[in-house]
Amino acid sequence: MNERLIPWQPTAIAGPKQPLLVTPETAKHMIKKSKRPLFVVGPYAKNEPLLDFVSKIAEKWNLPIVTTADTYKTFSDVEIDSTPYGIVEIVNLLKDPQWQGVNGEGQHDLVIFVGVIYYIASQGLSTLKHFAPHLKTLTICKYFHFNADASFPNMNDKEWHNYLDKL
Amino acid sequence: MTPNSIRPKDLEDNFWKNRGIDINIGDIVENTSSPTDNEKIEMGPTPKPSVTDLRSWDMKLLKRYPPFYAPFCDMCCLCTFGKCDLTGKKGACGIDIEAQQGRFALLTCCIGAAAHSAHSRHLLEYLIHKVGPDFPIDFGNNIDIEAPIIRTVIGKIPKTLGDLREAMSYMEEENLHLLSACHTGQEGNHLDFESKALHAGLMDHVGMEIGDVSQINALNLPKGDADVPLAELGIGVVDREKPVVLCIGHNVAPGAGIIDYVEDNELEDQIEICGICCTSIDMTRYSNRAKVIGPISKQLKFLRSGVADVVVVDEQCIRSDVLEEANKTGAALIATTDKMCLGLEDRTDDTVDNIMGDILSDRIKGALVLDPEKVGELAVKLSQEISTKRQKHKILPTDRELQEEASKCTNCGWCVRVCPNNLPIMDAVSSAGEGDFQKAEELYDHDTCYTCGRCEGECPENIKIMSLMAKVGQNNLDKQKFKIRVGRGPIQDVEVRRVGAPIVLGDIPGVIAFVGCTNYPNGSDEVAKMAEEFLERNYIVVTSGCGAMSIGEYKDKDGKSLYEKYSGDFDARGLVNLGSCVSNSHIPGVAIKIANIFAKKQLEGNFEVIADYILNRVGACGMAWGPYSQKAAAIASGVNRWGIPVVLGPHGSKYRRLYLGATEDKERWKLNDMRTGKVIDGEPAPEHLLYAAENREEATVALAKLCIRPTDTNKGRQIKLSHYIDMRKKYFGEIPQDIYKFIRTEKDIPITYKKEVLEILENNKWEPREIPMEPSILDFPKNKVGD
Amino acid sequence: MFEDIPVEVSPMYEGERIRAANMFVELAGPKSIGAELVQVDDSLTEEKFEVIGSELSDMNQGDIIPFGLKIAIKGEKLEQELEGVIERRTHDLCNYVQGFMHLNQRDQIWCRVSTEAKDAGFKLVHLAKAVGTLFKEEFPIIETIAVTILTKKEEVEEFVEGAKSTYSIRDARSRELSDEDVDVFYGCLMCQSFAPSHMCVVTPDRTALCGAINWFDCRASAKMDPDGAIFEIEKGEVIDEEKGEYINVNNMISQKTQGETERVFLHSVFEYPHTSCGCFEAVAFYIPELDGIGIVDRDFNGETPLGIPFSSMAGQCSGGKQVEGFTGLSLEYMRSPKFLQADGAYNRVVWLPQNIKESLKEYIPKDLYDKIPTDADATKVKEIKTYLNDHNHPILERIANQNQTDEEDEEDSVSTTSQEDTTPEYAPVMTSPEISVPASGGVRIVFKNAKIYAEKVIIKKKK
Repeated sequence: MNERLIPWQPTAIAGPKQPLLVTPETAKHMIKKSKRPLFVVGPYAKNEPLLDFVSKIAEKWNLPIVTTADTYKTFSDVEIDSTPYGIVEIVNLLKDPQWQGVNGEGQHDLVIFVGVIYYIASQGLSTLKHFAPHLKTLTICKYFHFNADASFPNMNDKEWHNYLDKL
Repeated sequence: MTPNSIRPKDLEDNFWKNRGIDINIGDIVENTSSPTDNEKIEMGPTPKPSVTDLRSWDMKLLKRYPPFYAPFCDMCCLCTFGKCDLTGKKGACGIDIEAQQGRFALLTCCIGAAAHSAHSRHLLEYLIHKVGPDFPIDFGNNIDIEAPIIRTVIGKIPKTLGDLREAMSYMEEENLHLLSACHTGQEGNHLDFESKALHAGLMDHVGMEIGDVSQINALNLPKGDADVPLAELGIGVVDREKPVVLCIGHNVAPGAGIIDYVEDNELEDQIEICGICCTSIDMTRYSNRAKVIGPISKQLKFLRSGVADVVVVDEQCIRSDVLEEANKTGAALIATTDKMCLGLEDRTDDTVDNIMGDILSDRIKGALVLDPEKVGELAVKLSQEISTKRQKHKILPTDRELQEEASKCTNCGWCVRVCPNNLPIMDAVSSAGEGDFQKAEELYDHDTCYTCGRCEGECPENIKIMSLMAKVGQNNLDKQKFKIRVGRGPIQDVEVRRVGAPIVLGDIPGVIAFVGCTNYPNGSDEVAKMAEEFLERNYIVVTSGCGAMSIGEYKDKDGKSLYEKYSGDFDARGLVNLGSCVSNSHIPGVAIKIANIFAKKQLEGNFEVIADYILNRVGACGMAWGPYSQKAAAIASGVNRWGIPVVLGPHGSKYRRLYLGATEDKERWKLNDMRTGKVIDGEPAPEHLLYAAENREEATVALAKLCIRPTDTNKGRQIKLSHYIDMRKKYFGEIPQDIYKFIRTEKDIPITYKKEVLEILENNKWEPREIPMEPSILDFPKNKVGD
Repeated sequence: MFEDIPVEVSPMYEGERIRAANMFVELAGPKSIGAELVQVDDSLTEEKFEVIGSELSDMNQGDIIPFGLKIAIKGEKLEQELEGVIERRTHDLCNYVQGFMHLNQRDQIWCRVSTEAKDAGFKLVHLAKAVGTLFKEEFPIIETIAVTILTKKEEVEEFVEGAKSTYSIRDARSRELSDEDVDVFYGCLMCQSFAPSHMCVVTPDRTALCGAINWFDCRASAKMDPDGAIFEIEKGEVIDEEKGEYINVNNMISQKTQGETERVFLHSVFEYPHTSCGCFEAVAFYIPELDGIGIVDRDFNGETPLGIPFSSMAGQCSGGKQVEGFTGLSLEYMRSPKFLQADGAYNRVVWLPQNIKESLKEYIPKDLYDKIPTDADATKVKEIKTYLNDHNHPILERIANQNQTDEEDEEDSVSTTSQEDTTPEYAPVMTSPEISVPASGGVRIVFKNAKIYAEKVIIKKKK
């Protein structure tokens, strides 16, 4: 099981502070507790079945979606509402305590990530880890993200779909 | 005579007032070696700026584009107090994570600047040794502004190779100060670290310009010619039947030595001379004998294939295990600079025959020879000997053998995990294990796998994955034949003049520069596709180094290289190959020329005014899609300091630092209008100075947006916006929601999108605003305030 | 705006090329006939987009069809003089239509429709509509527009004949129109985005030095956008007809260049020549030894009589700086009847590149044509002088006159002699009972009863 706790790209270990390894239960708990969550979705979500899962999860929890790269196009084709930002742009906004969030209702307190290219996601999470104490990050990829506050472990597709289903 | 000309009686010198002189004058010639000499050059405020001289400029830039940090590591492990965890706390020396990232940015830029500068110093001294310090710097009739960066930064016009030494010494001193600031217990403020990093970037450009200017003149490389020929590119262009000499690196001196030896001894048709990385670009500028294998992404696969009989390495971006890899295939290795000695014996002063004897008898694995001419003779003769002895075709395992080896794959998946791009190596290997090489071929195409070798190092079964990749390439040599335009060096002054009117009239929407290394997320064809898209849209596209080679390795739907399809003119739809890494200095170079040619801005000692001009007026944007080296970071920082934005590929996020504009903060975008003395509302143009995009689609749209500048004419703005809107629609399926920020008055609205744009303007309660006359981010001159 | 058109319409398609492989039909071109014509028609009452003759749906793949593109426009601010300006945009605007390629202009047009466009349901009437809409957007002074496409041979033939005569009348009129015939000139500030202290003055006899716009283009632009970069300058009072100096022009240029330039002579290189940003097609430069004017163009790569190439010379007079003896100009200005008239026009021109001279054959007075040397004949001042002598160029009179006045000018102990002096190769430079020459290092050199000869004296100005 140790293998699950090594970041997907093994050298993405950043330092002594490790993220919380979460199960869907803990993840649900985190989302419930949050007041202004945000769902940041990257280009891996252009493909099924992740696209479907994202749609269901966002709907269930009423999460506003930010799409990075050109994911916006795929989403708008299937009529899922989202706000497009570059991954570095949204991270830049999230780390600014003055930002009023995607809906103008106030800065977000929980940011859920999925589908962003691994290493740039890792970097973005590092920025938030160091410079955004006002929010928590949760990643629900099938990869373990070292720089998140909370992350799913490394899993194969079957296990992962199972987790997403439970979410 | 014209009223302003000189008559002898005007000459005031005492000499002429001697009594009793009867002067009869014949032909009076006013020495006009260059008309600019006649104008009194009033030195600007910052010739040879020190580390802090341009600090106020840096701070203004950083206020608009605050550093965005993405720490690569939470810890600092520089001194023995450490390692220190900087997550939410300070290190033992008191540094915090922010300053640490700034320090790392500075260190990266120092290393990059040093690499180019040291290379230039070696090159300069070698060339002076060869042709003398009085060798003139002359780019011909179409270029009057030679060495624009040196002119601006040093404040002098270099006329001979020897003149370049002044710039060199100045820059070496600055590099020393900058590196010193990385020591434990130096700078503590991240913005000041950034200011120094920008200074290091500027020094990098000074160094690069020295390098390219000196080699272009002393080695008679193309001097900005638009119609340079095409050279051969690709693994498939090498004639494997002949002895093959491979040069890897960046310094052209050894390569030139080899070419000279071949030509002097009439061995042209007998030896194949090829190169990987920038040295090959510069070799093809020197002679049409040389061939380009490709960029760094070709390194390991080509070495592994054993085609090269002799591998000559100089410096920068070379694999550290090149000796081991060369020896594996029976090739000899010659190291030629002090930067890469590889533990070899220094045989610089020994005879060629002795060295050859020792290598051929296997007493030594290779030799360090610091004399380019000797290298020439040694490499050629060695290659002849070695090629007869080796069975080149049998170096790589057979397909059968590879299949057997690949069948050992246990599907553990670790190769995928350690691959920087998480490529599906496992699938490729296991299907190869079943005799199907298709998936491996897909990874080979477009250098999607750039053979870094990490997978091979991780594989618990020790499968030689890199040999598999090399073999796949060897099996498909016919697909590996391409063309690249020879590097031409700087842009001609005349070309700049020619594009002045089309740019203001909107016919040319901007200039995009594709530079950088090959750490691509998804193969090298993405760079070519981006270049093609902008060429089709009438942009001017320039390229250099590995980027230029990647573009050459792409064939469009008609099987043509972009270099064959588009001309080499610096004009709309022109694809210009500037040359090697050091030729990147011509990118700020052309922007500086614009300032001098059109606005007659004094260059000497006038960095801030020139950079301010470029930032506000020149619609150019750099693109480094696969940056990996420290040099790339230094080049980007230097370019940024000159006021030109750069978009990086996703791996660029690992440089730890970007410069992202505070888009939402209107205050930061205000401009000082030097004409009216007023402070006016500006726009986020360019929105970011250093940006990292996640994929090609995002990058393409970002490039279009980053070409917008406050001084665009209405027509020019319309055209730039219609491309921005068009590409956003193409890749994102929507009109950009922030378009209202770039509409100053209704005349900026592109006619084909009028309805949609008006809708967005309405939704955002848009109001027209003033178009700046002379926008600047500099302070008003003291007497102007309050006018 | 283009919703009912089955193909895209956007500047993005401007560079689109349609080759034989994906060509559906060809219209006009070298194997057929065709023309485009824009005319002001005040009788126009309503918008109309129609095709007279066969439509695309009636044609077969590979057909080559005659093609007439007739555009009628009406608007309060429109006038006949602007027809040419507007018509010149037909090429670009047609190319905005995806699947339609337009080459050349006027009666040389050559167009193609792609198979993809045809398959998407594209028809020529859509082209008419798209082009009509684009014209209105681009030129808001067009209030009503009607676009008619002709594809029937006889009608196209007639149309082309009519178009050709309209072109000639237009060309003649625009050639004939002179500064005296109009009461507005135009100022252009387009290049201020690069060269903040420069303004061009555009008149019928002096087109813009970038070569891209003429008085008519400026007129159209100023009408559409009076507050824009191109604006009217009321001609007003003439200060000097010959040099081309006007009070209003001086005022305007002084204002718009922040006083950098206060006066300008439109037709002279002396005293207050017209400034430029740096994008001129050619430069006229004064050659003092010959008291003549040379011309060099942007594409000329060699040495000029001043001993410096174009790019160095160009550096002298860019950025809005007014430098006597240099002025940037367009190639078209060299065809103007007022070309450098204050300085003597072609009587004063003593050198220009060969290909430029050939292109101006009809504009250089016949008796002068062979007397002006080109780079093929001579490049150095001495060689040019010989050539001028051999061909009896009128400038020789000027040189003779000038030498006389020069001699009269000399007062003090320094005298100059012209080159005709009977001296050996070296002209004596100095004679003196004693000359002290300071030299560095504390050394002093004394010449006694010296006579110093020199082949030439070079006066170097200190930086």
